[in-house]
Amino acid sequence: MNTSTIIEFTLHILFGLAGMIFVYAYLTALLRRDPSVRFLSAASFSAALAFLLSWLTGGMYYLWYYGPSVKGVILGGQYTWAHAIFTEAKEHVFLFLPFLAATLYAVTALLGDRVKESAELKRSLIILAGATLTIGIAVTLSGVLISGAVR
Amino acid sequence: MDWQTLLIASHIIGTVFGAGGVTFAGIFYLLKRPVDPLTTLDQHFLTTTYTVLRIGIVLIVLSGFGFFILFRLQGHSAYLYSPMMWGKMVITVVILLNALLHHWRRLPWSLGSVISAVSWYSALLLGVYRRVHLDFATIMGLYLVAIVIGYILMRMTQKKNIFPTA
Repeated sequence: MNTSTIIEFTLHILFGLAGMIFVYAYLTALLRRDPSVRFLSAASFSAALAFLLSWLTGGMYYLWYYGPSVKGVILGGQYTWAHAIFTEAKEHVFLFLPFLAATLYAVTALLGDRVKESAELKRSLIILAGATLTIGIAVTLSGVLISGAVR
Repeated sequence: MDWQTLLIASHIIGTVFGAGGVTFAGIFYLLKRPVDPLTTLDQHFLTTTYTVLRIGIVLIVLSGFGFFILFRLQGHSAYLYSPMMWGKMVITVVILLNALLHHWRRLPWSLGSVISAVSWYSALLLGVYRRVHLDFATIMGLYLVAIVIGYILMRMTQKKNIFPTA
């Protein structure tokens, strides 16, 4: 790996992790009796931005390093399923994350205090944030599985 | 200080904060009778304890992924398939989900406390005995058994009132 690839790989992971931390913070805050709409907006906006940046750096890493140098190593090794199942699933499912986080932000910012007042809306947001977190955890663990297959 | 030393130090500090925080929360829970209302001092104590716990989990997650990056860049990818490492990752996810369910009041307080305490100490033990060879199913089996035993012990302790309040 050259320096720019190392930077792309590291930033892809760190931005993804930051996005997960922001979604987790959003969900924890939303589960409180009296959540702060300002905090929820900031957390969901930060999550959407972090996922978008992770998306971009991950795309650069995939195009310039993973595709030409890593994919062949995995497919030539004993863990071909790491690419065939996990990379293939990850590169599609991952696309949802910035949009899910952006939806959380849009609903929270546009509806403001109604997020606190309407139990039904709050429940829907909990489900959406929970789904985002679940997908994020699956994508994160897939990333570890794929990296472990490079040998 | 090189990256590896920094990551090891952060990981140990995170574990100390997490295991220490969960120990104090557990002792508080055992000493506090459910009928007694929380005093301002109790609330300050719990807020501080949970803040320390949160700092611990953030340090564990960040340093854990720091190790992941380091192993990948140094070509030690084989370690990423270690059952001990996967055991720790699954347990970390359980700690995070348990905290969410606790916030959401979807889990009895006593069970949540046991899951939290057993999880932190299991992760600690997996880190200490990282050279012991156990498969993933055995690690998860032992972890579940520890949760069941922990829950039974907690109920017994509460019933016998081993730690009466002052």
